Amino acid sequence: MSLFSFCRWMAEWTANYMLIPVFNFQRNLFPPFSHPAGTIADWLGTDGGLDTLAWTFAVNIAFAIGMTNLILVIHLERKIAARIQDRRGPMLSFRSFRELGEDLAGEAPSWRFKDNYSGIGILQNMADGIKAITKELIVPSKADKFLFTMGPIIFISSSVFLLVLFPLSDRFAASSAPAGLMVIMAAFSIAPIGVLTSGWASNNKYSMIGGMRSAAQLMSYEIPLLLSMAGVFLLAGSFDPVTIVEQQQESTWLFGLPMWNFIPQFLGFIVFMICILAEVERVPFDLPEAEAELVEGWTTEYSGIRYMLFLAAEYIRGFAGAAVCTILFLGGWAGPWPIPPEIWFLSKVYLILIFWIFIRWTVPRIRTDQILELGWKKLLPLSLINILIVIFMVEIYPYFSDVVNLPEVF
Amino acid sequence: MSSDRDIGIMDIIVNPMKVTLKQFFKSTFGKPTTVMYPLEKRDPPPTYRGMNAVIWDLCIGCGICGEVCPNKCLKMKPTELSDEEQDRAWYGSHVAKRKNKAERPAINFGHCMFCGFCEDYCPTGAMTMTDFYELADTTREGLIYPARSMKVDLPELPQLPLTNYMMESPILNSETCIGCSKCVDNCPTNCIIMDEGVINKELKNGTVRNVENPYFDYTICIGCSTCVKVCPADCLHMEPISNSSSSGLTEEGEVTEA
Amino acid sequence: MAEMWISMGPQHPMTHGLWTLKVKVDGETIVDADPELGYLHRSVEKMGERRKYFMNTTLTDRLCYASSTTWTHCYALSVEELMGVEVPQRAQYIRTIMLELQRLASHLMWAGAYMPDLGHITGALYFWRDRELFLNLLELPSGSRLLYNYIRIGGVKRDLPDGFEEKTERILKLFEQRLDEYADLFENSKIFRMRTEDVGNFTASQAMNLGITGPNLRGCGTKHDLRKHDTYEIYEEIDWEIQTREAGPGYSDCFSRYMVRIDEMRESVHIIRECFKNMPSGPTMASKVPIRASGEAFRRTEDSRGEALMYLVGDGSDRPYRWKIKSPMFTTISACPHYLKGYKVADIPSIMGSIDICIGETDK
Repeated sequence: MSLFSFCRWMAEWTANYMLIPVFNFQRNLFPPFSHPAGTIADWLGTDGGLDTLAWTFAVNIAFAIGMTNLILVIHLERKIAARIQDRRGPMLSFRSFRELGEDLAGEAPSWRFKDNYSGIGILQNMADGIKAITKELIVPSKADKFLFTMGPIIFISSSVFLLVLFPLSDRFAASSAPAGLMVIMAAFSIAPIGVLTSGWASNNKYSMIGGMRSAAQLMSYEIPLLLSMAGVFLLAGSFDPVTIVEQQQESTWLFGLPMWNFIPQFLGFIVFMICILAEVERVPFDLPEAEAELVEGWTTEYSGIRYMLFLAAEYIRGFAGAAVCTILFLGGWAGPWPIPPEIWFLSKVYLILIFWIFIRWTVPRIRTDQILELGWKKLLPLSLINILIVIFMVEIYPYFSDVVNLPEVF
Repeated sequence: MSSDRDIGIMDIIVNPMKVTLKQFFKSTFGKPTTVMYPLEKRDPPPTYRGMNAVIWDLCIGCGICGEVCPNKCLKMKPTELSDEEQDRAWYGSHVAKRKNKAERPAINFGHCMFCGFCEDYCPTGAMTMTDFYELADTTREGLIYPARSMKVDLPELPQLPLTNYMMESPILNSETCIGCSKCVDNCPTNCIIMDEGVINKELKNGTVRNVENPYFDYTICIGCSTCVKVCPADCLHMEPISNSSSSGLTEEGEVTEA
Repeated sequence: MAEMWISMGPQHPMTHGLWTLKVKVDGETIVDADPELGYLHRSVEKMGERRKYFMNTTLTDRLCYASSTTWTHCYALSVEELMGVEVPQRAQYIRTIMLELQRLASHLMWAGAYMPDLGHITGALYFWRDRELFLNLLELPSGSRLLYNYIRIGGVKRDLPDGFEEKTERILKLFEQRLDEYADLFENSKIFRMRTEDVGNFTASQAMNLGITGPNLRGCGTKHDLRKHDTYEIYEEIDWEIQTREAGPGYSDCFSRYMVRIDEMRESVHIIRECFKNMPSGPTMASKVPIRASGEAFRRTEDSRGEALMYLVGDGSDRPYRWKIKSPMFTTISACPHYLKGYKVADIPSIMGSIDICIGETDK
């Protein structure tokens, strides 16, 4: 059962047994005002109404999974960064809770933990969340208040939307649109609007430069990104994630191993990895929010939960980017039998994330002009060459395969 | 030098990541450099300059620590000594003889910068600095430590010689001295005695009488300049005298510049 | 985009202290720059005139928290000249060791602060981890981790503790090993070079005209070091060399300024070893240190950041009559429009970080 059909079943159940009776009851109770509620009740029974309800459920489930996942990703980043830097990372959350209890109650609470406090640093994320929620939402007096509020909404909602779009496996997918990956990339490119909006609306020069940088960077990296993906689409002949993964499983090379796309299209894989890194704005491409010169760039004026959600959205985008990379080049959820495909998929995604975390704490940030130069002068030609290779493989090579008799790699 | 080699494509990610990966495994399977602070604490060296403590039995109340304090955060406070403390004090008998109350240092740690001058210039070694450094408080008043809270008792007292770290000692101008002997009463080391001075001196009110003058024992003078401060006639001033070389009773004119 | 002024500071990650850099940008390119100093003015010189000579070592410690021993040493040298005090031989050796340890700590502090400017947080923690080693060493004789107050007028506070030499040697060996290890992560990294090479250039003659001294001048290939040219302590007795680098013929960029400091750290390690090799025994404090002085004195020393100058006038009392400090960073920061123009906004932290800013000594 796919995730969407589960949600659809839930939506039907909820509509039939909970929502429609309530609306009908209300219609009987207040006959003069019966019309709107009645319309809703009638509409809920239809296909469109049930689909909408099912989508709401799916998005909520995806959001819950995504946020739980987020805590894990952030903890992973913190811990790996700490280990790289010869530190310990977040360790002592319970101790601070205990001390808080001592402050409030005047004495140590009855529950005590062993003296070695290791391994519970993940609670640090909860503490950060609580802190961010309790902070004041500051709106600068000369900011464009409407756009200032809209910016985070656009950025965050488009990022959370990403979570619903990619399948964890062929059976666990909220959406199974035939043009699935195109929709994902479309959702990816909504975010620059939010970034530019919040950068401009903050009425702050740092924020504006950050927003402009972000727009320039995302736009110039969109092209090589899509071109490097085009090779995969040509090979699979589809935009559907399920078809792409199946195609990667079907074609084999040495010893009958599945030929995942990163082997024939190594060039495309490299270009895609660099571009998606720039797309999700991680080091070394995080210059829209370069803390050294732009003081966090377009997020400078945001505070409290808005700022935290910006950070969260960036991690969600990172997660989604890694997931797209897994589907396109690393064989998606395919893997040996005993481990379920969802676990395979997640472990591949996490592997890419860990690789990114290592990159983040290993290299410095590069400069604006250098990043644009890299995008236009190096990555764009490389992605075109990659397409040429794929065209050769798909269109030309099969006609000559009998004559030339290459080793059976492709 | 290793930095002069050519930079290739491997130096974008791969070679730098070798370093971080190595460190990652080193600190994952080994012990990281940092310590979990409230649970583990590093040991300060024996020379550490932390919170001050005063060995009251050695303190003679000379006030040099307050004198050399650059921030003037250390003040001498008149303190009531119990009989036992009076007995144990190094110069206890002398303290009892003095007219003024015994004085002990009190410190405002909100102003203290832990430079260690009070410890270095203390003539008896009574002022010490401990390795206690967790002094933070929620109020400014909490950082003012009264004299008695700085007191420490040692089971065995180090008997150090009095040392003049100030490199200066008082000099008397006998013409203006009126022989009030205030300096004798206030000298913390009892190094002044009154003896025969100017004979038949004419005082301001016209009377003529013999005036006793103070004489200083520079071997035990610590250069605290208390006598200069209490002198009502401004007949004393400080001059550099190396106490290790010159000793005995000296008067102005006999001293050579150090 | 139209030209506009951006005010960076006084609270900004790039400033490394409290000062304002106003830059006029055209898009992302810097057209003009205007530094504003004086936010951290504590009137150290005037405060010093109210305190006795020996008390002022606490003020000079606080001129630059990253390099307090070198500043205190400059003050002690000038007061010793004023009073005519002869410092014992062993004290001079200990002072040299302390100065070089402090130079190592200061350069490591700078390197650690420079890395986040380039977006490399790991570098900061690596260099600061090594700085801890030297702070531990400096703490052993002086009793404090940051503001040592160890060098006093006429010598040093106390002799080196037992086992200091072995501990130092162990730490120096570890440090050299780590510097070699870091080469791949920093100076041989392609992206690090992209950020630092050919950025913030100035020529040697320009530097001399603008009053830029110290490692920033040696980064242009000029062999100028006051430890050799206006020698003090025992620098002339031991065998060492001035480290220079240049980006091209006679000019420096951020990378050469980075490398000259790394080379200087290796040279400091060498100097410390040489000092331990022929260290004499004896007293560590002059027998007679007067507390009153008259006349005038002027000394300059090689600080971690350039030439530190101090001028003192005494009027026979126990406090200085006039005290003037010349900070190397004041001139270097003031010259920033000359080497900022034409580069990108993203280069500002890279350039300003590479000259090793310390605002404490700049604003005094």
